[in-house]
Amino acid sequence: MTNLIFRPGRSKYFYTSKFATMSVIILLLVASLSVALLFLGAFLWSVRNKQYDDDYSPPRRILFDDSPTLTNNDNKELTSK
Amino acid sequence: MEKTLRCSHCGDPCPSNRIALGEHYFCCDGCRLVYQLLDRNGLCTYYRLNDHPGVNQRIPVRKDKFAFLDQEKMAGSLITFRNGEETHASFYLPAIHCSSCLYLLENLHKLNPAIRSSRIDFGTKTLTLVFDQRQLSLRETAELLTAIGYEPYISLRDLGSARPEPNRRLIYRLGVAGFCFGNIMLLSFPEYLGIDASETFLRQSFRYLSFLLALPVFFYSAQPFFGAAWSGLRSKFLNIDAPIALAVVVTFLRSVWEVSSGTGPGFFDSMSGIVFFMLAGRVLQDRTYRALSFDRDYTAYFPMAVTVLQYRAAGDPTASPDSAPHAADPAVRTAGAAPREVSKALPDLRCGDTLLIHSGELIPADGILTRGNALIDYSFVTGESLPVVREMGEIVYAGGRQTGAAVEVLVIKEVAQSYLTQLWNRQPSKTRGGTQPSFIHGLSRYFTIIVFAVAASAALYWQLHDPHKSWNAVTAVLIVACPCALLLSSTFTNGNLLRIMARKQFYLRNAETIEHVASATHIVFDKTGTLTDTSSPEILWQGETLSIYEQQAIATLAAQSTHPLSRALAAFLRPTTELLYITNFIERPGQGLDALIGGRRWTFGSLAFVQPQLSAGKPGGPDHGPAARRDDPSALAAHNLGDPTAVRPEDPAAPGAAIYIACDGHLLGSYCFSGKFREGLHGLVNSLAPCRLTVLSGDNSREYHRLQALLGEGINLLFDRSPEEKTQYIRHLQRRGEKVMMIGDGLNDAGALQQSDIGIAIAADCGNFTPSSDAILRGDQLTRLPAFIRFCRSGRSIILASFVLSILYNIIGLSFAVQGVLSPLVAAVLMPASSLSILLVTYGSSNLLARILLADGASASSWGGAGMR
Repeated sequence: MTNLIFRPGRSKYFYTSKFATMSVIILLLVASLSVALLFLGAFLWSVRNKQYDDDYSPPRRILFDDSPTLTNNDNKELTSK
Repeated sequence: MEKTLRCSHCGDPCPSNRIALGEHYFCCDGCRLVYQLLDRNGLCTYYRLNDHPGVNQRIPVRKDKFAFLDQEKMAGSLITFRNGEETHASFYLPAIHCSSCLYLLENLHKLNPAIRSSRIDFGTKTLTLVFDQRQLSLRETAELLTAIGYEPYISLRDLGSARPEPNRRLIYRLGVAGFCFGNIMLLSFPEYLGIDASETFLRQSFRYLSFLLALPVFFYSAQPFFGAAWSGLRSKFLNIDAPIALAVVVTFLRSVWEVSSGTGPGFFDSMSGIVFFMLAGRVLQDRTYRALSFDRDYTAYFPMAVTVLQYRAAGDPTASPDSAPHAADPAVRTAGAAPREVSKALPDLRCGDTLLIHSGELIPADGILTRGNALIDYSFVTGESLPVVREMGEIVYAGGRQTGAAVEVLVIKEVAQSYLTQLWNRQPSKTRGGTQPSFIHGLSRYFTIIVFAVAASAALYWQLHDPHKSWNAVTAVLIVACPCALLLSSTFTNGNLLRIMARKQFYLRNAETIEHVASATHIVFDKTGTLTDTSSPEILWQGETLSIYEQQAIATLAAQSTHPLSRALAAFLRPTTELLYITNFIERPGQGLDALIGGRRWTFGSLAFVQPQLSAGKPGGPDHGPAARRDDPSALAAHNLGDPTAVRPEDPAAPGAAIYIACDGHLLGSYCFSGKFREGLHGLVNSLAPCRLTVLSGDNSREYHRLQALLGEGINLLFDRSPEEKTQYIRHLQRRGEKVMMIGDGLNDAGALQQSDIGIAIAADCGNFTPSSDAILRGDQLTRLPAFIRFCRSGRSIILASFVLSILYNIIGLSFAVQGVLSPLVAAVLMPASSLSILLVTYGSSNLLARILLADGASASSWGGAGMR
């Protein structure tokens, strides 16, 4: 839809149409809101996932040279091999 | 000797360079073993990440300590998940403290391949492990952790229900409110910037979208305020939440009406903004310290299991409780084979069970000592600073820690009925909240009354002049002048104060506690463990001047005994002396020992033990007459302890306070042990000036004069107080109208801590057990108490200052509101402006004050007397 507005050569009537402008804004609104909702969902998920519980370990864990722990899945793969 | 040798593992000074491994020296074999184990497995990064990250391993852990984990019932409480291949379990490891710990504990799979993964939660100091139970049992896992210096702490509490999850509902609400607030603001911009009136459809859709977004704020995020207001109203108490809830409801209803009637855009953005900021303040204020627990009961202090001796030739491992009384039967005991040691969960103990209490273990139930001599450290339960000797046949009470060799105890009362548990259950339950509401509630009440007066007069005015506008004006007044600024300033200030004090290791339970600390008028201290540092006693020699040879002899004697006083003395003397050859060594446990060194007979021990060995007629020491010494033991004790009135010879703890030493029947003198007072206590009375001070000790009064000299005149010193008497004394003070702050550490203070207006528990290490209290203070920060109190008092000034600031905004808003011309734009500008300025003022001023009052250089005394108000 956005392309329709800004693409040159379109009929002038359509370009200035009140209806088109409005519907595009509404569409953008819906799009932006759903993106924002996505982030809200991500935030709620991260809280639920206890990502804010421990603010000491993760920044240090990442600095250790060798991989500190194999995750559960890695192990399963290793054992199944 | 120039440079002190430090242990490569824990960093403690090494007594000698004997324990070494290549370039590295260690203070004890325990530390060396840990180092060796890590070295062999290529985990020495542990030592590179931090300097001396290890925890001292001097006290070895008993081999079968974790045997109880072999039992399904007890292991089950630590296991979170299990299937055919792997087990997930979590341990609480109090020793976790740095990134090295993190590195090592998350690399456990290198130590034992059966461990698949391990992960630390640093906040709660818990380690979650996944391991293959076919190769490694839970017990072996616990033993592995112990072997690398991280002994799991497994208490009776773990047997109970799972730990409650932290409450995250407030954060969810905050997230939703923030999302809606941001989007409503965006949607409101066209309205504020002057949208073309002809764009009716667009305008209407913006308004309805705002309305939709405001719904979750009103019905979900704002719920805590409605709930608090409702519960306040139900108990006929007008708290600060009531006017706030009213303002939110009025704003919402008016906005809904405006949008539905098409007369205006409503105040949805202001409403959700207020809710968002207030929730943010609440979140900041209600921050909890997950590693701490303010509500511990005895179950966190007791171990999960204890070793029970079963005098039966055969029996199933899970001996039924009813069979236990037979075990105590002497006939069975003599007839049966060697007793079997079985681990039993504490709640399953029954009267008649025989317990084997190893050195360093807690006595979990009241009982009779049936074998061995007990030397029990009751300091945590009664406040007595020195261990107590108990002979066979005597009753030992639960809660004491056996410090001597292993003993056997016959249970006469179950855990739930023991003295300690009773002590706990008798505690008065605290009635908080309604009794002493925060001053902001009172303030908000005045504020509300004024707002209603303004609203009413505006309504009256418009009723006379232009009745159409009166509804408009009244709602606008209620919208703009809600006391949310007051709530914001108090929550942000309190939250920041809590955060700053937690950084200085003073942890308050909640924001209310700040006010209690600020308003205390009488401060009561416990002595043992609070004013004194129990970890290292102060040792003073009183008597003849000793030659180096004599000192060596005494050090040699002290090294022979396992008595804690001897051990402390040996540690005290060891750095300067070498040990001598010793013969004819006889020890009477708990009393003293007798030996030949270099042909001379040395007697070493309590006064009662040394006294009979003194030969009559021999000249005594130069400082006091021999006659007095021989004939009147109490006079001698009194003389040596420096206070004739204080010492009662019949007190079992008093003679234990010193080790007497005689050589060939000639008393050389004594080493006196006294609690070492924390540094910086000098002049505490002056620095806490406006508050009255009392020391309430469960210990005897032998340190009366020392304490008085140390703390200053005008302090009230009371000794020999039982836990009940302590609680009664607090109640007595409260009846006189005092607001009492109690500072204590042991279980004997638990009742007093509960009874007092603010109970502060002293902890050596914040992971340690503390009785339930309102605040936890690290022991070495005690001298900062005057500064903390002053800091808490200043919190009130900060709240008031920012509130005054917000009133300025309110006056501007009200001037629009009473005219009936409050536009959503004005509200939308005023609201964030006032919120943000409150935030800046409270944050800035509390940090500034913290820098002035709580600076590391500022000692307690240098601020003495300079009261804030």
